Amino acid sequence: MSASDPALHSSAAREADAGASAQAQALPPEKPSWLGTQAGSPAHGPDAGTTHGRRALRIFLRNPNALAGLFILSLVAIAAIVAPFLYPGDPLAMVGRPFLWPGQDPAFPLGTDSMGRDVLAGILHGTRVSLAVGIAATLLGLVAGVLVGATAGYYGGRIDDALLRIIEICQTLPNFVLVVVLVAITQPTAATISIAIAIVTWPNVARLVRAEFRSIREKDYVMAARSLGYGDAHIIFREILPNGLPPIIVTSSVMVAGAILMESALSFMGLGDPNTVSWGSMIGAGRELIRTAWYLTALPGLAIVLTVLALNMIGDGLNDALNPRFLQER
Amino acid sequence: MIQTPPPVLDVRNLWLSFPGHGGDTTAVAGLSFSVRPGQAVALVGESGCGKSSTALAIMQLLPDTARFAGEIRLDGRNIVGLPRKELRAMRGSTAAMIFQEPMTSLNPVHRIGDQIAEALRAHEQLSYKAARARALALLEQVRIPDAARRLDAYPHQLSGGQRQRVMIAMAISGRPKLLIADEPTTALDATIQAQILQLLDELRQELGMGLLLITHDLALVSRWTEDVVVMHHGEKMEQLPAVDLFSNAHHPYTRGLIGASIRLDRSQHYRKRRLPEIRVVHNPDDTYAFSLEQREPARLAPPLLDSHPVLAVKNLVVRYDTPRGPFTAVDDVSLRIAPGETLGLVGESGSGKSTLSKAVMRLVPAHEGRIVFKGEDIGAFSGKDLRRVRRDMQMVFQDPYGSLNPRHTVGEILEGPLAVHEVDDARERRKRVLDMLDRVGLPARSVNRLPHEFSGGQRQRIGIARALILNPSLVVCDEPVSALDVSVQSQILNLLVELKESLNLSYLFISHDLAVVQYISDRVVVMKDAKVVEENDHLHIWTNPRHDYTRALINAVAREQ
Repeated sequence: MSASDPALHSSAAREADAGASAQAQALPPEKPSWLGTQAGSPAHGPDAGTTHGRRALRIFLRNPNALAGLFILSLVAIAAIVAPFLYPGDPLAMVGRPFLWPGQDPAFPLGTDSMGRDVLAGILHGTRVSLAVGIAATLLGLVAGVLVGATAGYYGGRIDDALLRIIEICQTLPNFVLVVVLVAITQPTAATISIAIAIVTWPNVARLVRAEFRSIREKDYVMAARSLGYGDAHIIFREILPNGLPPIIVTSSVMVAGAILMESALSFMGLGDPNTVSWGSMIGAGRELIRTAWYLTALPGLAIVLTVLALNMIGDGLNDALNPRFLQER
Repeated sequence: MIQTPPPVLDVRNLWLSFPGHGGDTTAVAGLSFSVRPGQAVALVGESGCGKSSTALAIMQLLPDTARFAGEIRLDGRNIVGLPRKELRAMRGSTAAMIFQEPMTSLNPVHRIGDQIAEALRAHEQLSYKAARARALALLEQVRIPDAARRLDAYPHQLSGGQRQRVMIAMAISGRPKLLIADEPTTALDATIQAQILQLLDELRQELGMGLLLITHDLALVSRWTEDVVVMHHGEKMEQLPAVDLFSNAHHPYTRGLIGASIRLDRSQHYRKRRLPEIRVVHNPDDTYAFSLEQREPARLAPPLLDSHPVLAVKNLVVRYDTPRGPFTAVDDVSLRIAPGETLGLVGESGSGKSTLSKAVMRLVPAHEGRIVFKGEDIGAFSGKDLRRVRRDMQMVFQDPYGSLNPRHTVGEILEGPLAVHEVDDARERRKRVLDMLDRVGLPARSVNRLPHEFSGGQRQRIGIARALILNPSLVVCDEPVSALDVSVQSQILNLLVELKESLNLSYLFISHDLAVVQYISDRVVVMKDAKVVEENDHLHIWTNPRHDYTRALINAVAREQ
């Protein structure tokens, strides 16, 4: 085959047609009925035009567990939003007769506690504290963890060694004890509790981000970015971070759940903010009455269980949706 | 009269499709062929033609969602729809398969002797001792030197070629009547490739088994198989004896493939002629038309050999720190590229050619030596100076999938470099992006698309566009066509030549493929074990190689052809 074969160029198309029809007569390939008409259409049909994000969303929305989690979490969020409108007063105020069981008095659907405080009002307002601390602590932990992890993973070498030591030291400290100490030193407010929780959770994020950066740093497109003269900040935030996001997003949903649990534990021990009601403090207050009035611990406990479960289900759903194994083209 | 034995594999009117989001994708459409005992048949075609799907269908290893029609008869028995248990008994004993990646097909935590013994014991009642003895015999059968000691080695202690031999040993452990080899040598170096194929050929004759070789490499087919089935978009284009492949192919697609593939002995050169390109037209009535297109050669000015070189590398040394001490990846290498010249750099994997290219680009640090680019020693440049030089020196990467950020649109990928290098006017940037897309043969609407929406060849065009958008004078091409199909390879090589003509570029072209280097280079440098072993112009290095290693490389390729 060469340029000295002028016949081919002009007659090739005709030849192909002739060949195809001759073949068709010789061996009529029976098309099975389930086949569409697009036999042999190349693979770039189905997914053209969809982005990774949209595909991930589709997988996520097809996952019943994730949807259930999302549903419960939105109920919790709505509760947090409507709480001050439904119960504008102080949820710690004594409003009725003590030890009203749920359903006993229509004015207090979930009953009252030993001091005559409305349990439903307490749970609704507690939602605000739990969500606020959970989200704030996670955001703080994420920012610190991503910055440290990205720096360590991207630069490597001595910087990595030094930062990794710091991460390891922070990880060896017993988490909860550290939080207790930090809160005991400072005023226990939602802000200080969030900061204390962030201080113990950022090392996990930093480790994860560092690992992601170390693997993505070696990718050809990062090499290409360097060879094009891009600056370090540009490469870290525009080239690498978007590609390392999926595991970070998944972790953050579980981190929110962890922070909520930690805040509840603090409040349970009476180390929370004494001026606000929280699920943990409600359980703590009802703890001594568990044999006579178990609903006082069970109801806020159920709120914690549902919220944490919802966040974990969302985390699992995100993991499935964002896992690169399910995105063939990543 | 000799009676022909019944075929060991008989595929009859096989249809295969996979459900997807936008409807079914047909992978195989009405394919029929057969393999007799002791016969070697090749299934050739480009990626996406359905050859690997066919192999997996024969082993019944496709995902459950795949839909079948037609028959696959193995040793006389139709296996489509057989229960799992019977399929498992059939795998390994009637038909066995080896895969492309010898690096990942072996379990890294088990000794190879145990892995082979395990494969044996899956099909036979054998004591551990007996299985080990058989494993040793198998290792000897696949010609692994010092087999008794190798039995207790872990996969990472073996070379790629040896690992592929272990895979073959496992595949033949059940004495299969059919061995399917899916691109068995694609991941291996040329010299090793020949040895593995030789082994497969000998085993086929020793064991009288049928061999189905799946490959994209036409040269390999003509030497190692008897019959060739050419596939495109799931259909059989034609079937012919392998000896006729290069001389007597009828189908225009086959002839196109042969035209587009570059062979060493043809002494083609880019300054004399362009590579023919296959044009495939998908008609509305779902048929395809094929044609071969060859345009006039580019009019290129000869390289200015006497003027100052664009790039001069002097006594470059690059070392890596490994846990086992420093490893010298590039050892005292010197080379120069004249303006307008293409320097080809050949070597097998591990020869240091990629490290050299990265050191030249200042992506990895050099320990000794000088890198002089346009008269400036850039070896110690940093910050602003380095950025200024990088504008003028760009790189095209091997992997068209890994070298583009999957989360950036093509527009962002191409505009990024302009923004970094202070082209502040957004309209000017836009204009240059569109102009560059046009030059590399991509439509303007590509701007808003993400890389995964493009084919491999198109992605490589995007990679080339990104390298050229800053208007460099030197482009380092690191295996730019090794991941591409033959027909796409010729298009990309032609594009590189066109761009060289219109933009007056110099190339450092790195490849393990001698035929490609021969076509595209003005001068050739051969690297082995971190050193340059030979350097000569493109004519003499092939006809008159002085170094033994160059000769061995050329022989390994020439034997295939």
